[in-house]
Amino acid sequence: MSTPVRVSPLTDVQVAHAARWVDLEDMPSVAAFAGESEAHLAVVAIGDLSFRRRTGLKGPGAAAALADAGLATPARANSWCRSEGALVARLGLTEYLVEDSAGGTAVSRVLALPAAADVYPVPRYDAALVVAGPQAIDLFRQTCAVDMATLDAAGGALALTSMVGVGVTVAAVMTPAGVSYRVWCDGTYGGYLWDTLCGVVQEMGGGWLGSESLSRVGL
Amino acid sequence: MKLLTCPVNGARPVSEFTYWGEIRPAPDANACTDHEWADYVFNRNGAPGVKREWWCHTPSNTWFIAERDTEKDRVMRTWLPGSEA
Repeated sequence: MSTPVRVSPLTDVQVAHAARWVDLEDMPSVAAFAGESEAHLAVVAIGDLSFRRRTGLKGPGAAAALADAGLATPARANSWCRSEGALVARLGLTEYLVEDSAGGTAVSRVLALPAAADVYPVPRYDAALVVAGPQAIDLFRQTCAVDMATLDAAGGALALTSMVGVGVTVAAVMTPAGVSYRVWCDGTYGGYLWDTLCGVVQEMGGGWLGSESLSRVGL
Repeated sequence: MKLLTCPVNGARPVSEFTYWGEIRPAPDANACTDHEWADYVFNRNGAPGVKREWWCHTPSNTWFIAERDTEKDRVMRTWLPGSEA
């Protein structure tokens, strides 16, 4: 058995429920969970997008460094934009998170940047989730103190807050499945966050989806 | 729910914040007496009143200053270090 290049922080909590695995961006990911159903998207569904490549930069020179890598940055603090297919999130004033789409090269370009004054690399080993469905907002109401209904998905709003006691970044995004929410947290808390949110989602009549279903519905 | 306003992230539950103590000017370690230095290191002012304190919004690691009346536990204003007029 070969050792995977990248390991999802959620592997341990997902392995018992996985029906099929697939390698995505060099990371073994759950392609389908046992008994999963896309019908959950009519209520609330949660999925794992940790396989996407991401990195971060912070410091007064971070925006200029990202521009050198050919990436646009959001003008406002706590917002995100798409650039070259990548999601570029501005966290606070001078910190940025860059997450590639499938096959993207934005992260590798950022990682290849030469060291510069006032720019500090931030390695990201996040657990990266997506929450979708008309009752997604109710999931946040049960687990978080920020009213996510106030986040403007079209305007690229995001919030840094706490969810079930875990520090998270939440971005509202427009998807073919409607307004969905991307959630990033420190990978070491990922298993707890995934388990807890799955419990709430299940109580609400929703469920969890593997990467194949997420891809089919454009998440 | 008790709220505190982060200068970057806005009003949030106080549970998202960490208190890091009153801002106290440090004496010149090379010029002060041992008594003054020990007083700075070990003693804190517990008298109630309006104080400037370090706070941190933990999810975003945003450090800021709050001016707080510790007698009434009322925050008058918050700002980022270096941004005060």
